[in-house]
Amino acid sequence: MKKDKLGRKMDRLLERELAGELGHSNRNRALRKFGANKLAFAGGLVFAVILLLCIFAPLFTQFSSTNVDLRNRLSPPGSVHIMGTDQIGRDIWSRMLYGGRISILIGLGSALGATLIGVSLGTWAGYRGGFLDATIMKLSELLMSFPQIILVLILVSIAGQSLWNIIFIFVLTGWPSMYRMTRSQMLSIREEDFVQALRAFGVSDVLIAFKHILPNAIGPIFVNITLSTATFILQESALSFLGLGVPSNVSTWGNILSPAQNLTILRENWWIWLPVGLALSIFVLAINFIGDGLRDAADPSQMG
Amino acid sequence: MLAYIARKILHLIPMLLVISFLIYLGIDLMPGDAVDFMISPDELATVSPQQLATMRANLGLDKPFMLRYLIWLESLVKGDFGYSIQSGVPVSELFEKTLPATLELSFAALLLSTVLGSILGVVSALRRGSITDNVLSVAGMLGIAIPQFLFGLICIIIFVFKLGWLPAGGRMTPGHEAFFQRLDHLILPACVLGLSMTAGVMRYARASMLDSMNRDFVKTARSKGLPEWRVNLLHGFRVACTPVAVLIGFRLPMLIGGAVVVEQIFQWPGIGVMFLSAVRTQNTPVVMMVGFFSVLLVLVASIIVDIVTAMLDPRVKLQ
Amino acid sequence: MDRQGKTTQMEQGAYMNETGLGDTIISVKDLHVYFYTNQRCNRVINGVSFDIKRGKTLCIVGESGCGKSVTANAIMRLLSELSRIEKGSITYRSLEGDIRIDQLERNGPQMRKLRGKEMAIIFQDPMTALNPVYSIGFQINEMLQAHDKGLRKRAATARSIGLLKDMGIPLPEQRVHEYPHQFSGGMRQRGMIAMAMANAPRVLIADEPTTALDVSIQAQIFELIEQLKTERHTAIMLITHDMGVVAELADEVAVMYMGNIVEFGTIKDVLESPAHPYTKALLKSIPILGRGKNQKLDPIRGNTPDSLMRPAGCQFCPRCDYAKPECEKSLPGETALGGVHRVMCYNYADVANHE
Repeated sequence: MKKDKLGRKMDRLLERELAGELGHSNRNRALRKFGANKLAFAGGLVFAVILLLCIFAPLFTQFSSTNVDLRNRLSPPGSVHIMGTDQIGRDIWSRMLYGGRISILIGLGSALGATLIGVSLGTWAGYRGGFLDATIMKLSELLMSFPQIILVLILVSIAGQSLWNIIFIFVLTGWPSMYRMTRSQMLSIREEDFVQALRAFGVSDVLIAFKHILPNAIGPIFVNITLSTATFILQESALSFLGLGVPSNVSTWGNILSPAQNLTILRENWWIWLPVGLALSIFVLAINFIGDGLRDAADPSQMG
Repeated sequence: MLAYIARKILHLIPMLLVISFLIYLGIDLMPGDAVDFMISPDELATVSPQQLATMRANLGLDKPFMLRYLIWLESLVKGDFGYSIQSGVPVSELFEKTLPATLELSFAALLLSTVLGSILGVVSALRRGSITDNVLSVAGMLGIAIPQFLFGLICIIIFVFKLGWLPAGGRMTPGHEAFFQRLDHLILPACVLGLSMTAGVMRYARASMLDSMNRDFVKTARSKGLPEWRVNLLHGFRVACTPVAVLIGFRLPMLIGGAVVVEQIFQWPGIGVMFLSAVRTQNTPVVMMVGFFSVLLVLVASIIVDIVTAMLDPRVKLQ
Repeated sequence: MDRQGKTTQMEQGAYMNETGLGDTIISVKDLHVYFYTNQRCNRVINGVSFDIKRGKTLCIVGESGCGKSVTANAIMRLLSELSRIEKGSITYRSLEGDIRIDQLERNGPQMRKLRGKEMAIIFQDPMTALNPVYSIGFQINEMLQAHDKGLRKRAATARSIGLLKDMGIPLPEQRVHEYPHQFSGGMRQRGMIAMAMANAPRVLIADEPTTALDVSIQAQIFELIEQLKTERHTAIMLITHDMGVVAELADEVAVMYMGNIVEFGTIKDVLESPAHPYTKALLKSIPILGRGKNQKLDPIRGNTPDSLMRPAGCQFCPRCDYAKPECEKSLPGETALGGVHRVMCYNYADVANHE
């Protein structure tokens, strides 16, 4: 029979198996997992690089992100301003670096805040059940029945635009999904035998829920934190792009490209929006890779 | 089935009541009331406090909160959604003008992403590990990571300015009102709006298809001597459909939300654009009404998803 | 079949006359099947030979993981793409001549012509083996229409109803439109058997058909399978881990362990004069009705080794009471013991004498 590519691969595998080369199972498995997570590794690297650039911004640029210089408005990338200037003369590269700080802060901060609230509520209410659980569930359903951006904008119109308002609003709109996820984990783990055993031993509910059950659900929670960070960064950028997020005196990746809503700027001054857009996308992509890698590593059902 | 639908709608009502209450609370808490909006700042100087009080009494604005809420609720049900602060135009009229555009855009995006996403996901699954699969995987990751608005801007640069194939915005060019003549305006916004949904559907359809093809009934189908296309389509894909339909249902709110941004970029005259300008001008009645109706839309969509799921999977009992 | 779905006289005659009772329909010789998953080569089946004969039941018995299901799936070519028939042959004796199944394209047109028409398989769990979103009638119709292009839906449904009735399902006209989850376990399996037998295949492979069912239902299903054998002279290959079932139904028995048939013979041979230590151990470890609760049960000591980390020599050696030094060195070859009785053991004489 004709040997195709798969057949030849099998032949090689057979040779090695018969020669006793295979079967150092543990080493192989760990190595293979690492290799498969090349993407996660690359993602981690990119994430770290961008993060460091932003944190140590003053090392990488001499301009401030707010320095208005009307003589140099809309100048293309050059030797002085690496990424050019925007329509009121601010250096785009510095805005990208300092803006990155804010965007990442918002993303990570909101994700952590939403997780803290959502996971605590989910763990406790999910374990105890009853009236508390039902009420919080209804509340989460309420919040989740709004398209998120609409709810956020309603809250922005009530509370006004500022950095901390945005984080607060994100946490408020973001906790329900963490709550739901944690709760569903709680509900399934709650029925396991070891929990019955703990209860029989008289261990308090708080300890059972937080010290014993929660660690088992940690894997998906971490995955969710990373993916939520990405989501919040994207959301903030969309809001700021529309001018309804963080006000433009504090730069974020979103409001740097806000001027591109104007078709002329879009067409003529690509340096205002394209580099930031790319940085944003690459950063979010990196986070997604990390999240996927975490998900694969935490998933016991995956055959190594 | 009809009883099921009726029951589901009945379930909606308490949720809608709570939301309407919160909405009215929001409207009420905002500084200023109808009387303030009816009188321009210049005239304010000429009006005495007693006249203002009389006006308020005439409009029933001095009644207790709950009573005002119920009156508002009553007019809501009758179709009176209040007035835009900015223009004085009834909100219901604004909706009438903008809703069709948004529905058209959203529906086009939904259709596109469902069909394209499913096809690409199934193809990826069937050609697992191949170059096609890998390319599509990467494309899917990009689709999720790129912000929709950025994708919109890039598309405009490429298709409008560089290639000149499509118009820059708006829903139609004057004189070309028929649907097929408007298609060139619809394509770009629909694609941009559908981007992340397509990527999501594709990844999920791939996973669902792989899972489905691994199940025993696929082996049974093969053991009957059925041709591969039938095994893949009628057995594998058919069962893989249900989780994908559920996913699409979950993502519908994101589609509606995404319309807000996409409409702005392409100047598509829909509810999204109206909503944004209302937020910018603190036009509370409009903002709140849009919020209310977006929730209504999401809840109705979830009922539709439930029904579709029940239709797809006979094991789901319509309780 | 006639319009009511009953087997016609002519077809019954065809059953009887086509080949003789006891003639070989499927012949498996020295079959080796290897799995290539997880970057390993798993030698699941290592040289297995047997014949499936018309009107006779061949039982393949063994523990989980011995390769019996893989053998069944190999015959139907239903194994995953990451597996390969390394050596050996599977020959189907069709009415037109011999067909080498192992050489056919996995899901190619020739194989598909055989599947469902000449040979059929039923699986262990009918709940997962049947598609949950289609009615039983749809799935049986599919089987019928796959091999009869001109068959229209109404005629197919009529035949499906007839098949359901033949397999003992009450109210078939109603049940044909119902979904698998609406059937009880035993009825579901009957439905699957109805589907498998729809085109009157000459061979029926049953892969642990009752493991997922209650014991009381088990008996009914086996009765049904027996009926197929006696009335239609279907060749039956029955996979099971239950020696009790073997004792009831088998004409010939193949005892499998770690990918080899360690003993093969008629039911009389194997039950009355087992020649392999494993067979003997299996027989000793089943409780016998009537001997009371104090009867001595001897579980087989040790555990089945991982097929990726096999012992050298005879695979059963580490757990064997008759083991001698030579057993560790090389896998024993087959020794013929008279008739079809054969065994893979160096010490079969000891085993036979020991009782």
